[in-house]
Amino acid sequence: MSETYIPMVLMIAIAFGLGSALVLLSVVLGPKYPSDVKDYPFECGHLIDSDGARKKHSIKFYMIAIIFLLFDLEIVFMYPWATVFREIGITALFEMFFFLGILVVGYIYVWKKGVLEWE
Amino acid sequence: MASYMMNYIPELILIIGIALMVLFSLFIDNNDENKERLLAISISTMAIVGSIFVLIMNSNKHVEIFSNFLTIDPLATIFKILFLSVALVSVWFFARSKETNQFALDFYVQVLTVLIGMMLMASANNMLGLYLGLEMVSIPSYLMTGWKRSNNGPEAAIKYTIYGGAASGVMIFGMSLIYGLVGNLSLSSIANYTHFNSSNKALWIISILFLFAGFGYKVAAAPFHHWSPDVYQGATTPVTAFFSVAPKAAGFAMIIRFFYKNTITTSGETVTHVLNQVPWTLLVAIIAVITMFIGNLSAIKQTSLKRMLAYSSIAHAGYMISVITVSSKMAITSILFYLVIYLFMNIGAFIIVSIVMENNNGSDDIKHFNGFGSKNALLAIIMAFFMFSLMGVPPFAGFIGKVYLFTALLENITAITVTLAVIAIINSAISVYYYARVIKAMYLTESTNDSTIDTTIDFKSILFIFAIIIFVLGVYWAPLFNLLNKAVVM
Repeated sequence: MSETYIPMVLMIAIAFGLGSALVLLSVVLGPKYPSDVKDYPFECGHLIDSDGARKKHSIKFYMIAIIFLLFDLEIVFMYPWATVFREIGITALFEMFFFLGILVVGYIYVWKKGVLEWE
Repeated sequence: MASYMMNYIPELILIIGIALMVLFSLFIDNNDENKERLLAISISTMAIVGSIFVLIMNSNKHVEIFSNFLTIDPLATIFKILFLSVALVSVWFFARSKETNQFALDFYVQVLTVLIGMMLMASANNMLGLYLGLEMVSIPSYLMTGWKRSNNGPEAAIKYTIYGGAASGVMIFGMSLIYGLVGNLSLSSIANYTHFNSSNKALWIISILFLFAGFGYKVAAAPFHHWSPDVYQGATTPVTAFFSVAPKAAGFAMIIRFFYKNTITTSGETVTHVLNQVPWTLLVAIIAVITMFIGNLSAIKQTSLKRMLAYSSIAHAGYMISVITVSSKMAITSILFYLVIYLFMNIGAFIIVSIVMENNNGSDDIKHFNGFGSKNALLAIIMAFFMFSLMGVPPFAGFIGKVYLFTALLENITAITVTLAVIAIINSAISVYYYARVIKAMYLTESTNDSTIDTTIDFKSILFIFAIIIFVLGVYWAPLFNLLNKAVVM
């Protein structure tokens, strides 16, 4: 019973070992040129202000992120569809085209509204 | 098209309507407001009417589609027709409202999205479906609240967003607890749960309590009602009228789905079910009592008519919630019947408030109702009709609705139901005060200014039809009641 878990333990050991070894090696061997920008705490989308969060900041990053998420999920949805495509047949094709058609309408909308322009 | 898709046509029609409106909003001339408005009304009306037509054609269907994710049954169908009818009136109201001219094509896209969400809530057979429907209703609702960028619209929208986010978060936490207990998200698998014992009783009570955060938020029941007065006041009047009926009905559809799924059979008798062993009726009774008292007592001191109607709608939600404690077919029918009547009297009252606001620089203070009776006798008498109906005075429909609610409540006499009935009657008496205040202002108080109150022929005719319906349902309600009673088959 317990033998069946040996590959899993091995897997965890390798993953842990490899992960820590790579980090350790880069700490020991890697060149270090610190700068202000590099030392800055990392935050997605905008710079952190030490003088509080009560100010305006750009919404562009979030819009791009949400649209990315939408189309990412579309691909995720297409994988299971592809695996059962032969069983369902031509109906599946029409249904997926309907789904994609709705998404394309949304894509044209965000495009025309200028969400994808960074400036 | 696959057969299961055939049962989803009403929603598909709305989706096609949304896609068309999104496309048109990009490619038509932005400067031509009238053209845009005409296009929006025609597409959304066609989509809604088409959807109602398909629903009526297939109203006797009883199938489960998408791997038992959705149930298409007469109860869901009647709820869907109710939502779509509210939306049909609202689309006209949005288009004709002078409160804002910013209701562009994009706005009607939100309305149709809310509709799809509510239809999902009504027919979901799975807790994920319930949650998805709730969010699909909520997120466009936040946008609709803040649509007019002035006054307190955006403030209300922010409050609504934060409150809605918190409430639905608590609700999905409750759902995750149930998922942990049952091991399945399907509502029918809750019915088959057999491991109920004293050790997990507390967990069941907590999860039902958490679920009620979401349910209570959607039907605006205390103690989850705080968003509603601000949202009702901040949103434009047509949006408020829509919110006060449709999402509330959807919330009740969701509660009925969750609690009555498999707890009562087609013949109407109660079966052994885990929810019958959890004391959730007591919980619902407490919520109902708090809701009725908070709604009615807070409405008394309001001077803003929209705020008063918001608290009144909280109180009406309280009357309906108290009936949820009774697991019977009669209870569901009486709630449905009350919702239909509530549609006419509440939307009618909001239409008149909107007319008065238009003639008084957008202020909904009760003092603008002073002398309404002498300024415009027809509109004033119709408003009095709606107020009497909301009070529950015979021979108006509101009275019959309340009679059926109390009948359902007292069908099997227990300590809880009797207490609830007594409290509901006391609260009906309290509510007379603030509705009568409007009537007093209209007929017994002299007007302080000489402004006139008048409106166009389409407002008048719709109000006239609503008043007639309120009156007719008050004396000849049997056909509607039997129709609804026939639809309540689980």
